[in-house]
Amino acid sequence: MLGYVLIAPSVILLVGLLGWPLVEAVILSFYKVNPMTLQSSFVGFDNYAAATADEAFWNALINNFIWLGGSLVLQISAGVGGALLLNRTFPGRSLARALILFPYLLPVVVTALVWQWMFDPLHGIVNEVFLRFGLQPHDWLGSMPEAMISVITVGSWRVFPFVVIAVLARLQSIPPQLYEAAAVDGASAFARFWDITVPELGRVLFVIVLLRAIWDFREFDLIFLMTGGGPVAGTTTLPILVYREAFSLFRTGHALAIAVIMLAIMAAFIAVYFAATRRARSAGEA
Amino acid sequence: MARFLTRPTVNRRSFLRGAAGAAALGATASVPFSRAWADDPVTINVFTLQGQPLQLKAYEKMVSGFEAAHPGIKVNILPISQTDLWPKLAASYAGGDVPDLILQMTSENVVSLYGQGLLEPMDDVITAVGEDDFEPAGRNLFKDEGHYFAVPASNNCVSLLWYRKDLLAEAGLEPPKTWSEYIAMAKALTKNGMYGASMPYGQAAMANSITWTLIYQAGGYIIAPDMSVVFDSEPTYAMLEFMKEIHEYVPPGANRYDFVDVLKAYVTGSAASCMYTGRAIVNVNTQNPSIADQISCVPFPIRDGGKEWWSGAFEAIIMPKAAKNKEAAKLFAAWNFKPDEYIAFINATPGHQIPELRSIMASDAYRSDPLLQKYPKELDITIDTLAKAHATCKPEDDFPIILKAGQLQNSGVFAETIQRVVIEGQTPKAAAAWAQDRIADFMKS
Repeated sequence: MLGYVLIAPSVILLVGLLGWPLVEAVILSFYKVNPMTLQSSFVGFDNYAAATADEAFWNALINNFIWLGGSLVLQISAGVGGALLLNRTFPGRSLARALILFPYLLPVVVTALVWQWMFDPLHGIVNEVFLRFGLQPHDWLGSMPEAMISVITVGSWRVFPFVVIAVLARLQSIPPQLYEAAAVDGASAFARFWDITVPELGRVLFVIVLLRAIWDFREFDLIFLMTGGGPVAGTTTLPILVYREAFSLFRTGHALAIAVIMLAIMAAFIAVYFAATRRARSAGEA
Repeated sequence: MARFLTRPTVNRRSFLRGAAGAAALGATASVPFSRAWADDPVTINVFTLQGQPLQLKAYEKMVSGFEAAHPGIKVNILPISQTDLWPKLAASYAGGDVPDLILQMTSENVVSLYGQGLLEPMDDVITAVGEDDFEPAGRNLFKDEGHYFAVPASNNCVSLLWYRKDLLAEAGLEPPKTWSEYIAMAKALTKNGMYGASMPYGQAAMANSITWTLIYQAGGYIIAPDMSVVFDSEPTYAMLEFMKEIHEYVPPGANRYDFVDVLKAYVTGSAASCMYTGRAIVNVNTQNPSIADQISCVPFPIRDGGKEWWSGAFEAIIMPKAAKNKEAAKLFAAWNFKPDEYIAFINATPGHQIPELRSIMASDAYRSDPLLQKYPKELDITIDTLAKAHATCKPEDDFPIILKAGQLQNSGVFAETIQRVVIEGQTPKAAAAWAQDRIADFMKS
C-alpha cells in the first residue's frame, strides 16, 4: 500500500502531462475545430477519411519512410565506423572521443542555421568545394532530390554521435581474447570484423535502430527549419504536414487525425522494441 | 474606396501642403485617463509585423516615452514575421493568451480576423487621433456598419520595381513598364555573376502575397465578386508563365526566397532589380552605400495589355476582442500617432512606410528626413503608386471585401502553385487546376 502511495504523485504527474493531452488529441480528432474561435462540431471519422483520401498524406508518409530509411543507413554506418575508429589506439584518442559528441550537443536551430549557410547556393562552402573540384554546384535546399539528400545528411550528422557512444560502449566490452584467438587461427581483419564484431554488436544495433527509428519518424524541427517541407512538398513528412494542416490551413481536427495515425505507426515500432528488449532480457537470463 | 490619395487635379504637393495647413501638427493624440495606472500596474503585450532593427529602436524610444507618461503600464513588444503571423495567432487564440495589440498588420489579415468576429472596435482610438486626419482610403477600408475595427497605421507599396540605374544605362535600357520588357531587361543584365531579377519563390509570405498583385495585373481574379473561386483561369496561367520565365534570371537559392532574401539580393549587388517597398532605400544606404547613388524605382511592370493594378499593404493597428488589458492597450495605440513618435517610427525606414495621417504626410518634420530628401523622385513614385493602389482583399472600389483573404494567403497554396510550375515543371494549367480545388475546399471550410 505504501508503495502505491509513494508512486502516486509521479503517476498523477505523468497522467496529467502525457496522458491527458494524448486523450484530448484523440478526442479532438473526431471534431472540426477552428483554432481561432474555438468553435467545434463533431464529425466522426470524417477527418480520418479526408486525411487518408488526401494525396498530400500519402506523399508525406512516403517522404517519412525515405527520410527514415536514408537517415538510419547513414547514421548507423557513420556511427559504427566512428566507433570502430575510436576503439583503436592512436594519439589524441581521448580528445577525438570528446569532440565526436559536438554535433549531438548543438541546438537544432544552430545546426540548421550553420548548414543553411554552408548549403547557400551562391556563397556556401559546399558549392565552393564542388566548384574547386570541377563539379556542378547545386541548389541544395531548393531543388529535389537535393533537398531530401541534404536534410538526411544533416540529420544523420547531428545524431550519429549517439550511435558512436552506444556502439563504442559495446565494443569495449568484447573480450580481446576472441580477436587474439581468431588472429592465431589465421582470420583476416575482415573475417574478425564479420564473425566476431558484427554478431557481438547485433543486439545493441537492433535496439539503436529501433530507438532512432522512433525518434527520427517524428522529427520536425530540423526539416522545418531547413526546408519548411519544400520545395513543393518534397521534404514534407507527416509531422510537417500536421503543422501545416493545423497552422496554415486551420484544420485542427484533420491535423490531429494525422497525428493519431502517426501515433499508431510509432506504437508499432515501440511494440517491436519492447518485444526485442524482453527477448534480450530472457536470453541474458538464460 | 481603397485608394490612398485621390488623383489630384491640382499639383499633389500643393494639395498636401494645404491639408497640412488645416491640421495642428503639435496635437497630442491621447485617450483620456480613466484611472491611475500606478496603483494597479499592467503589462500589455504587443505584436508587431515591422520588426527590423531600426524599427525596433524606434519602438524602444516610443515605449520608454509612453511608460514615462503612464506610470504603471509596461509595454512588451514582440516582433513577428509575416510568415509566422498566423501560426502564432492560432496558438495564441487556442491557448487563450492573445496579445493586447497587433501593430502594422496588413489589411488582408485584418479583415480575416474581423470576418471571424475576433476584433475589438477601435472608434475611440480613431476619435482620439482625429478621424478627419486619416487618409479616407485606409480609414474606410476598416469601417463596417458605422464602426472602425482597425486603426490605419501606415501604408507601403511592395509593387515597386527597384533597379540599378548604372546597369540599365550600360545596357542602353529604359526601366520596364510591362512583363515582357522586364523579362528582356532581366535577361540582358544577367551576366558576369550578376542576376537580372530577384523575386520570391519560397513557400513563404512574399510569394503568397504577390500572387494577388500579378493575377490582378494580368486582368484576372482569384476570388470573383460573387466569392466564387476563379483561380483556374487564363490570367493565372499568364502569371505562372511570367514567374517561370523570370526564374531563369534570379539568383540560385531564389526557390527559398522570402521578403528579406529578395531585398538582400538587390542590396548586396547580386541582383540588378527586385520587387520591393521603399525599404530598399534605407537598406542600401546602411548596408551597401557604394550603390546608393545608383538605385531608383518604377511601379512594378504590368502584363502586356493587362491592367494597371498595384497593391498597398494598408497596415493597421488591431486589438483582439479577447485582449486582457484593453484600456491600457488603447492608450498605447493612440500614443503611436503622437506626431514626434509617429514620425520617428515612420522614418526609421524612410520611404518604406508612408504615413496615414494627412497632417504628418504634409509636414516638414516628416519630409525633412535626409534619406527622403536624397530620394525625392522615388518617394514621389511610391506615393503616386499608392494613390492608385488597392488592398489585395478589395481589388476594386466596388468589390466586396474578401474576408478570408488573409487565411487564404497564409494557406501557402499560391506559393506552392508557383513552385509546382517553376521547380517541378508542371504546366500552368495543371498547377492552377490543382490549386483551384484546394482554394475551393478552403473557402468552403
